[in-house]
Amino acid sequence: MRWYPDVSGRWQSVAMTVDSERRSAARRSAGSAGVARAETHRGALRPLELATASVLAALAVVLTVAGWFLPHLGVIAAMAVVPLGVVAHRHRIRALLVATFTASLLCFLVAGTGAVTNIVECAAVGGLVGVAKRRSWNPLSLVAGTAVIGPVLGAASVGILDMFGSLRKLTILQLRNTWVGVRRIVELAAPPGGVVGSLNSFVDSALRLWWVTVFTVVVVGTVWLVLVAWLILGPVLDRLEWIDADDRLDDPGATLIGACGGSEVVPGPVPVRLDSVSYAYPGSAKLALAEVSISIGEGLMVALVGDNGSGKSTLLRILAGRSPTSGFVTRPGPAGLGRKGGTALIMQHPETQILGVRVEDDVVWGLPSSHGVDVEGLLESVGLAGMGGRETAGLSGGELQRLAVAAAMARSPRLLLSDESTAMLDGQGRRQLTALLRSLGGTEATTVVHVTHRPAEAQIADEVYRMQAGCLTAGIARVGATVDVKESAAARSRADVSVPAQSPLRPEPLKVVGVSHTYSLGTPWANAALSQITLSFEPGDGVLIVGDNGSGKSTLAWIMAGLLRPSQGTVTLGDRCVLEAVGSVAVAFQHARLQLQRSTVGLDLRAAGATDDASARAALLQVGLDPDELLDRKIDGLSGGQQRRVALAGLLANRPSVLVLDEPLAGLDAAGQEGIIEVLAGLRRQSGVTVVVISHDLEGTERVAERVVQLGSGRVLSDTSRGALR
Amino acid sequence: MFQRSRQRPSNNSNKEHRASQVNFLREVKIDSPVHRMWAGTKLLGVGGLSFTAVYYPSWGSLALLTSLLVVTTFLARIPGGAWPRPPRWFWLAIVVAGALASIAGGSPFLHLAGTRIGLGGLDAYTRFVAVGMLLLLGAAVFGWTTSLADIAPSVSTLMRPFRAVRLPVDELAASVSLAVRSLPLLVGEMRSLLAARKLRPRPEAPKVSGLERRLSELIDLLVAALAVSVRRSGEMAEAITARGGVGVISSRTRRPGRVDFVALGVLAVICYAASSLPT
Repeated sequence: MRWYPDVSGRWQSVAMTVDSERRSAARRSAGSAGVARAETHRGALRPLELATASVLAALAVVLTVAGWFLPHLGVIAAMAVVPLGVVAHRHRIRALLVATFTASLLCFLVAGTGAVTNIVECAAVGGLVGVAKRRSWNPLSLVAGTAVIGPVLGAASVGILDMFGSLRKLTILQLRNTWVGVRRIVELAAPPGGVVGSLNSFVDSALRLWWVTVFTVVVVGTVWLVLVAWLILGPVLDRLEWIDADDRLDDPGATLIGACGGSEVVPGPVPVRLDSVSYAYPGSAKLALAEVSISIGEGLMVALVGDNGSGKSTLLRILAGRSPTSGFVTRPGPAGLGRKGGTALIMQHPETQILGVRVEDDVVWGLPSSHGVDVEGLLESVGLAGMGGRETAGLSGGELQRLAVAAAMARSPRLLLSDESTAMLDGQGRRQLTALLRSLGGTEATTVVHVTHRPAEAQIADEVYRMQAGCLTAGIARVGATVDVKESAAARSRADVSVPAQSPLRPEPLKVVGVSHTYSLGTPWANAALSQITLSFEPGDGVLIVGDNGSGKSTLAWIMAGLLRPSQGTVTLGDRCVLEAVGSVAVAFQHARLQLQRSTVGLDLRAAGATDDASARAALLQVGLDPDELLDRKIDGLSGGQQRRVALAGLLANRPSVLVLDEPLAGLDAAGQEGIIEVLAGLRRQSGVTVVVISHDLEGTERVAERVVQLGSGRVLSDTSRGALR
Repeated sequence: MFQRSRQRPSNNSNKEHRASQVNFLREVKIDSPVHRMWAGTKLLGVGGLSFTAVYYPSWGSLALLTSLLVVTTFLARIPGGAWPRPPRWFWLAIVVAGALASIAGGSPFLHLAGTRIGLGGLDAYTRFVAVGMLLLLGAAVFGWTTSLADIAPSVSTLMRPFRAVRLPVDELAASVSLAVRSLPLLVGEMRSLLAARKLRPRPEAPKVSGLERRLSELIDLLVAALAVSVRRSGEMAEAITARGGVGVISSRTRRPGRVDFVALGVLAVICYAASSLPT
């Protein structure tokens, strides 16, 4: 990004159309985004590289530790080669080295040095195969690469063992003793000599020439691992091509302040004026923004309303400092994303934008220095007073989003951008966050731009803009009846659900009797999740189980499905214990992607229990999706809402008696939520399946569940029908 | 942190039963001198201890190091329930391997009622197992007494000298902190992934060979896990960019205090003593 002072002494970001086009064309020709990225720069890791290295290193740790402590899953440890290979495939070797360091350190802390050797070996092999895949090496080059790293790893192992002489001698002695023990037992049955004798001399020389043995074993092991990596990593990488994980905020031309230590240029994000700004994402011909002109003043709260894909997030990215493909952006200084007095951004997903392990750490994460930041005061201002020492992993979505606001305010931003930050929250969380944003915007210090698809939230703003298909359709306008997002949502969800529904194999009542559950019972980490829960669900019931974070509602879902054995009590389905009928009670997890385990929709439905093509089609129709359009689609090419529906279709194909849904509406926009509700209501009407919705929110599920069970601290607080609740 | 439970199959579900489980890197949240110590001291402690045990695996050395760990565990007031409870097959394997190695005999010899029993095999075996246990115990004590949040900042402080050789210390520390942040999310996702698989019907008549089917099933699981992780990386990257890149990773810089220097001194003395004991 470059800044040119214009005549009036203001700063202007000028994007020359020709230059940008050349850049995106170059990316297109390079194939996948990962490939292009890996070659384009040197020096410190870009945020995407750092994040990928860290997350995949953590995955490698999980795999290694699982294999280490459960020997019957030993092969899982070798699978650490896959995440590390993905790092090498998508990014520079530097990212792989950082990932190796991180994974080794954490493995050492969990499982000692042995696990570290697994990580190093997997990193070497994963790196080789990842790079080979990225550069499309022919198999011969891969063989050559193996011929290099195999001996290197072998020599390194011999060197290390040579250094630790005593342990080596002890190990060799121990191996010899074990062999002698085995031999003596065998000799009790068979006379000495023969096979045992020649085996004996072989073991003897193998232990005496230990360096030859170790070297050979490591080289053979490496070759084996390369083969496995080629067999497994190859298909995995091919299928991951569908995932476009791109940092759409990071401007490759700009330097990050963390890397250069801050510059003298004072950020000046507002007032900002956009003149016929257009933007197309690299590799895409479609304009995400088309000729948008807008001017945002200081000290205002501005709302930007529009459907998914209307370009409102893209507009935010331009405001955050990304150069447009064409057009002019005029502001007093650079946007200064993440810098003091610059621009701050709060995003949609609560879990992924929180980077600190502790609440107080997250507030300052990424600042050049934590001096002079009133962490406690900031936390108090967002309603998280006294929670600084808590770990972020235990916070609710609403708390996480308010923490994100505190982290943004730690940078005293002149411009605060909120990208659908309320979309994933429940009613209460939404109201608290909107009120917080309102209280910040409109003060002299900060301009707030809040992107939302909820008209009600737009109402409290000073100015409202509406986006549609990359264009600003309405200028400044107080929101009235004109902004009706619900309308289009309803239209979209009016999918045909009046199809012959697949009814459950046998409608059976589900009975939860006296269930208590304590995690880590008998350890210092014992955590009582449920106590003495007794509930019964008749066939065809529609029940909402509602409760706050930590009320035990997810644990209850796992126990109801027989996925978790309760510490106490029983769950029966009809006359069977549910533990013996896993699958008859279906659970739709919040993270739908984890439930889709085949490459395409059709294959996944077949694996989920659809007996033939027709039943797969019927299942898709049941969740309001068009089979002709979707049956052959790749899973990772689907949107979040579609993935959730396909996961639901997979569960229905198995014809469960009871369907439990964990937070089925979280993370969907209004249209998506409406669609899921429509599907669930239709299911209950037509198939007679018991539907249990688990949520932290009472709103939105009226048409599906007339009975409401309130859960708090692991106990049933109330069990009433909707009418009685009001 | 990592938490897994293995439960005995029991027909009498109404009886409350104790689950055997493994907890990794999970702090026992109590206050003790060991808990208050700087995480870097404990990190150096585990490192020094492991190195000494591996370099000098003599009886005297192992006894000395084990007593250091046991004393630390007492000082940290770790309740007995925190100890991992390995499954029965683990103890069985230990005993069988020990029996095999003992048969080999060798010096030293024990004269008992006229028979000469060689203890060499048992001696080597016990030391061999003890080294492995010691390394695990060291890691366990670290996990019991250290908050996850303190790992990355202490790594950053400990590695400061390496800045001189232009090692990207900030990058490494930030990576450790992000990995630690991702761990609980990943563990939860892995649990959901396996649960979702359990909910699905087992394929009745596999058309392809067992190995091929297993391979494709494994690939499917890995792709699902990686798809989620790669997406998360993208979102995390945007969050990092939105914060202006890599900077500080913790709000309070904890530094070693007097207790830490005393502890490091004790550690150094014990490691030195362990190394000079006869093998």
